[in-house]
Amino acid sequence: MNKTVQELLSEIFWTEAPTSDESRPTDPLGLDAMREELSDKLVPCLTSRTSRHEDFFWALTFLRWSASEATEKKREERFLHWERCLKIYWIKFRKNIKGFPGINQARSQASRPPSLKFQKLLKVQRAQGMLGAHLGPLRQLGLAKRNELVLENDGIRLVEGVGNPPDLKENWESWKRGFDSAGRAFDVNFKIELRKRLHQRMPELYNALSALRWRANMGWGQAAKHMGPRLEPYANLAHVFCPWADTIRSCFDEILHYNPDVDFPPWLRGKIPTDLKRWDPLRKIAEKWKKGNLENVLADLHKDVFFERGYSRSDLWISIEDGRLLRFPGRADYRPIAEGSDCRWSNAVALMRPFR
Amino acid sequence: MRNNIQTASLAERIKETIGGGYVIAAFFSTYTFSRDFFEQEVVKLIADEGRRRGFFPLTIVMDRSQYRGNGWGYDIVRHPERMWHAKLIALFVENPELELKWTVLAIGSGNLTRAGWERNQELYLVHSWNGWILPEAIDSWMKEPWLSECKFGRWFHNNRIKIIAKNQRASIFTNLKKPIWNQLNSLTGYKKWNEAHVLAPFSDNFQDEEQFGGTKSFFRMLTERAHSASNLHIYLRGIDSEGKSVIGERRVFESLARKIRLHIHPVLPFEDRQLHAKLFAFRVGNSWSLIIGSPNATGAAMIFPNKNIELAWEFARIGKSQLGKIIPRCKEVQLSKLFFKKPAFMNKRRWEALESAIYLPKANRLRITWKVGFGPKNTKILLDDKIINPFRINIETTNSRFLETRPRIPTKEKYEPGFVPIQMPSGYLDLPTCQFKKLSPEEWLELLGKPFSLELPKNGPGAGENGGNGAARNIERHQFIWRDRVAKLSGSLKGLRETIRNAGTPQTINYVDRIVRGVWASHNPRKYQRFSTEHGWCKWVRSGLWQVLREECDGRSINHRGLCNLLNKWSRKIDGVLKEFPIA
Repeated sequence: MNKTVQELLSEIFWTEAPTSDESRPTDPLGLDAMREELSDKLVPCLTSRTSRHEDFFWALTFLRWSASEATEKKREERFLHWERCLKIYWIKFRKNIKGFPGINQARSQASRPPSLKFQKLLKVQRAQGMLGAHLGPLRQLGLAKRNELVLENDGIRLVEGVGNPPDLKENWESWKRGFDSAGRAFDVNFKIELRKRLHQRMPELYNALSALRWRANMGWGQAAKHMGPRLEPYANLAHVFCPWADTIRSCFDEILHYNPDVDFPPWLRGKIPTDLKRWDPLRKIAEKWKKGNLENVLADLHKDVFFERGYSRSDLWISIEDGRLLRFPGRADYRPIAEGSDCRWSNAVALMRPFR
Repeated sequence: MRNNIQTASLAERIKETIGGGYVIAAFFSTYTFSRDFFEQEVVKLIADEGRRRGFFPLTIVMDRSQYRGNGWGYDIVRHPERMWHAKLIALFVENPELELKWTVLAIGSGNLTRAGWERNQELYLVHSWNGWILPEAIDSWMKEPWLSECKFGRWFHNNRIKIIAKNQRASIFTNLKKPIWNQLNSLTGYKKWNEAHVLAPFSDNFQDEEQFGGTKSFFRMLTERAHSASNLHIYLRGIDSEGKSVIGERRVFESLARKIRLHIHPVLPFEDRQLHAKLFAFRVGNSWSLIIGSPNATGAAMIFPNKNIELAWEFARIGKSQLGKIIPRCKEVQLSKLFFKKPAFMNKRRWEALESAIYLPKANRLRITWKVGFGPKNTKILLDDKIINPFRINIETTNSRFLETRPRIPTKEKYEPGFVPIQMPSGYLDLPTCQFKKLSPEEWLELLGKPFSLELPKNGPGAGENGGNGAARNIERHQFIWRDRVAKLSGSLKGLRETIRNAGTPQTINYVDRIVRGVWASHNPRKYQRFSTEHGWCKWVRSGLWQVLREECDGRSINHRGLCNLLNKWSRKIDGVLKEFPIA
C-alpha cells in the first residue's frame, strides 16, 4: 500500500444515484410495451421515434459511409461516430433545430473545441439513438439487409448523392463544409421515394389516412373502417386504448405522489385480440378492476410487470406490504412521456402524407 | 444528514477508475444479487457495453440462500455452508497501448443490486493500485477449493497476482478463519475505548433479509472493552420522516443504557434512500480508528467463529476531522421517546432439491446431484420456466444459466421454488450463441486467431484519425475486400495453428473445438448464390480451417480426438482441389 491512510480515507464516500441515469424503467405498468405491440400491427414500418424524413436520410447515409468497415462491430462504431458528429453539427450550425435524443450531451460537446474522439451522446447510443430507431424500419422497407448493418441496393441508390464521407478535422469549418455538402443530397426526391416505399409496404394504412384527409389528430376509430378486416380490430383497440392508457398512467403517478383524490377511468372498452402476447398482465387484472380497490389493482399490475422483466421487490415504485400501500417516489423520477402515445399515428401522417 | 459528507455514484466512480483501460478479469462478492441489474448496468460498465461479456473471467460469489438465478457469460459460486455477507468489487484492468496494468478494488456495504448501488445510503471506498494485486484476506478466499475452481479462481492462480499483506494502519480483514473482532488493530491487547460510533442499520422485513443474529452479544463484548463513563453513539435506520421510529430491539438498547452513556441517532431516509451503510469508529486514548465494510453490529458478523463471512477495512490512528467527513450528523433522540420496530425476516421454506447441476456440452445433458429425500418423483426441474429433461438439453439455446426446482405434487406446507446455478465445465466458453444474439462470421473469425487474448476495441471509432483506415476509405463501398480478408484469415489461421500446437490441456482443445465449430457453421457456402464472391469466400475459410486441422492434429493424442473427428467429418464437405490448395 503505497498511499497513505489519509489518501485512502479521502476516497471513502456515501453512494448516490448516478447523475446520468437514463436506464431506469419508465414504463411501470407495461402500457408502453402493450402500445408498441399494437403499433407494430398497425404501423409496422415505423417506430415511435421515426418522424422526420431527414433522420431517415442521415441514417441511410451513415450506413453507407460505414459500409467500408470489415466487421459488423466496426460498422456500428462508425455509424455512432457519424451520428455524434452530425448532432454536434446541428447544435453548432442549425439555429432552428428541435429536440433530438442526446441533445444535452451534444450541446455540452459542441461548447468545447471540436474533437474527433468518440464520446457517447446517450447512455446506450446504439439503442437510444438514430441506429436503434431507424434500423428496424429500414429493414422493413427493404432498404437495409436483414442480418447485417449494410444497405440494400435500393438503399444505396436513395443516398447516391451524398458522396464520400467528409474529411472532418479539428476545426468547425471542416465539419460545416462536410455535412453541408452531404446534406444537399436530401431533397424532395428523397422524400417522394421514401413515401412511395411506405405506401407500398403499408397500403391499408395509406388508404385509411388518405380517406381521413391526413388529419393530424389521432383517429384510429374512423380509420378502422378503411383498414380492412385484418387490421380493423387492432385499430378499434388503439382508438380506446391510447387515451385510456394515458389516463391510467397519470392515475398511477397521482397515487405515487400521495394524491388522495384519484379519478380512475372505467375498464377498457373493446376486445383485446388474442395474439397480443404482452397484454397478458392487463387481461389478468380485468376481473379485479371491476370489483374495485383500484390502487391495489394497479400495485398488482405494476408488480407483475416488474417481476416479469426481472426487477426485484426493492425496485418497485409502489407495493402492498401487510395490507398497506407503500410508495417510493424516489425510485421513479420520471413523469409520463407522450412519445408514441397515439400508436404512431402522427408519425405515419408526417412521413406518408403526399407532397404538395 | 449529508452536511460536509462526500457523496458519489458508485457506478461513476468505478467507471472513472477504469478510465481508458479494459477489464481483463473481474470478481464480485455480494449477499444478494439482482441478475437484471447486473446484466443491464454492471456488465455494460466493465465489458464495453456488454460486447466482451463471456470473453473474460467474471465470477460472482454470493450467499447460498439468496440465489435466484443468473445468465450466460459469468459464473456464480456459493459457499457450501456459511452465510456469505461480504461485499467486494475487484477489477483487473489493462491498457495494452500504454502497457499499463492496474487493480480497482471497492469495499463497502452495498450488494450487487440496484438498491445497493443506487438506492440505499451506502458507504464505499473505491481505490486503484498499479499492477495486479489483491489483499491477503481475499487471497485466503481463493485458497478455498470451492472458489479456486471458478473461472476467476483459475485465472487468479494462472496469473501472477501480487498479494498485499496486512498493514498496521490500513488493513483488510475477513472472518473466514478468525472473527473480525479478534483481528482489529485498534482494540488489540487490553486497549479500551472512550468513545465509539456504531452505524448499524440492521434490517427490516421488506428491504433486505440480512441476518440479525447476536446483537446483544456484540454489544456486551463492546461494553466490556469500554472505559467507565464512555460515550457510545448508535446510528439506527429511521423509518419515518420525524425520526421517532427506528429499526432495532428496545431491550438491547435499554440494557446498554444501564451500562454506558448511550446516544441514539436515527438516520432519516434521505430522498427515500434507506440507511444500509455499516461503520464502527473507536477513540482509544487520543487516536481514532475506523472500520467500514460489510459487517453489521451483530455477533454473527463480528465475534462468533464460523458464522457470516464478512469483509472490512480498518484504518487505525486517524484524526477526528477526517472522521467528521464520514460519520453522518444526525440529531440525538432520547431512548424513551423512540418507537422501535423489530426486524422481521421472511423465513419462507424453499424446495431446494438439487445439490448441483453440471452441464456436459458434448453429451448435451446435465449431471444432476439430488439432495437426500428429493428426486424426479417429487420434483420438477425448470429452465427458462419450462420443465426440462436433464438428459437432453442444449444450453446454448437458452438465456438462463440456472435451474428452478418446484414440488411435483402440491404439498400441505407452502414452499417457495429453489434455485441452483448450472456449472459450466472448466475451459468451456460460454459464448452468446443462443437465439437471442448470434456472433457474425467476422466475429467468429476474430475469435479464431486469438482465443486467449482477444482483440480489444479501440477507444472510439474515430480515435486519433479521421475516417479510419486511409486505404480502406478509398475502396469503393460494398466492394468485396478480398485482399484484406485473406490477410486477416491468414493471421487467424496462424494463431489457431499455434494454439493447437501449444495446447497443454484438454480444456484448451475444447475451447478451440467450440471456436472452430462456430467458424465452420457461420461460413456455410450454401447460404449464398453459387459462384458469388461470398460463396467462394466461405469455401476458402472452410478449406483453410480443414488444412490447419489436418496439419496440426495428432491422431495419437487423446486430447486431439475431438478435433480429429471434426476433420474426418468435414473431409467429405471439402472439394478435393481445395484440400491441397495453398491457402495462405
